[in-house]
Amino acid sequence: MKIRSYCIFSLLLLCTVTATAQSKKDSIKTIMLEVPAGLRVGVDLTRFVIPFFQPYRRDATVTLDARYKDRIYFAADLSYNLVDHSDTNYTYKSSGVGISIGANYNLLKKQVPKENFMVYGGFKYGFSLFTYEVPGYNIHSDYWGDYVGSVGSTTKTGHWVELSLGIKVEVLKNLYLGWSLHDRILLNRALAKSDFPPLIIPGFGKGYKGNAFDVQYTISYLFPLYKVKQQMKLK
Amino acid sequence: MKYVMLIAVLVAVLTACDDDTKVCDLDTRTEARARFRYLNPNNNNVEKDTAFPKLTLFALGKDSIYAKRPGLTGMQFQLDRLTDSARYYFQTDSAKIADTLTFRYARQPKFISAGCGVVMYFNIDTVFSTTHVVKSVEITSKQVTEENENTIILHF
Repeated sequence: MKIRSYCIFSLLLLCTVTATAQSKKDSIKTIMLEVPAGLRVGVDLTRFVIPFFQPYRRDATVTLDARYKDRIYFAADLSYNLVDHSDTNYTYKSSGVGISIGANYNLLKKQVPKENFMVYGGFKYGFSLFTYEVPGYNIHSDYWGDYVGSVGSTTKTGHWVELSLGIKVEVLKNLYLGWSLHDRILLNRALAKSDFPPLIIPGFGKGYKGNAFDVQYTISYLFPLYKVKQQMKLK
Repeated sequence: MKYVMLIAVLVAVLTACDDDTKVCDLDTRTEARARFRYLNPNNNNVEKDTAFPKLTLFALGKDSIYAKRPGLTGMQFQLDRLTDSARYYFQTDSAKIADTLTFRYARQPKFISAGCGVVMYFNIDTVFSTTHVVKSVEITSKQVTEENENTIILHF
């Protein structure tokens, strides 16, 4: 399942890059225009759906991006996570915050000056700070009897890099809807391989795996604050 | 292209949303395993696997793990999760004198998955046996995990 996900993700990236590279090289005139830009603030709606599938966790993610140049956007995600799980094997509690910072590159060449659709690929570095504990766990044995233990509260950090691919569409003036796919690779893998790894790393995903695949569906609003120069090709 | 995107989104949604705490698809048993080897003096001292007619095994003071079980060429059994050593009564045949197997080890609880929870890993320090029937004990793997590798060979 995981290998198939990577293949699809890689194929998507390849298709998008190839499609961009195959643009016609007509003899067309290039001009520079100043277009409005600013800070786009959004929320990830999928985080509100997660508790229906994983009732033990609560998440919130705010997405930010700001256009820097013609096709480059600085981007950041701010995440909060709370976990409270209990079953017959163990109980687990954690809370923490995460931030990922990087850039998105718009793969679309704009045909109309104020067209604000984007198909983008992105790269981010992520960091999170969180506290977790295992107040009780049980190792069951019919023969010897159950072993009962606990792990006290500990504070850890997570570091990862993230590749993303997504789209954003302006549905109303300055209001955007978008979805994106994310593949996150944990840099401090020793955390995932420790005897008691975290269930969830805020902003990353499942903390006992070195790789996390994720999807975001965002609604965001653009606050126009400044202008950037945009290259336009006139036919 | 759009179908590829759609499939990718569906895969991502399913991967991101599945509840790992509900599924345990691993073998959570962490048991020591022993093989029986017999050195045949009538055949150029070639050693080969051997089986016993009525094998009995139990931890001292506990119930039987094997009770006069015929035809076994090896055995698997739990180590004590509550202390750092375990002793076993081991008899190959009801007519033979029993041996006592002693294991000394360090225990390490290990979280293996959200669905399976915590299991106990053991790191074997020493294993020894009385030598009524058993000639010697060889440790083949010091780690006892859910990988279920062979832990010792009992030579006869």
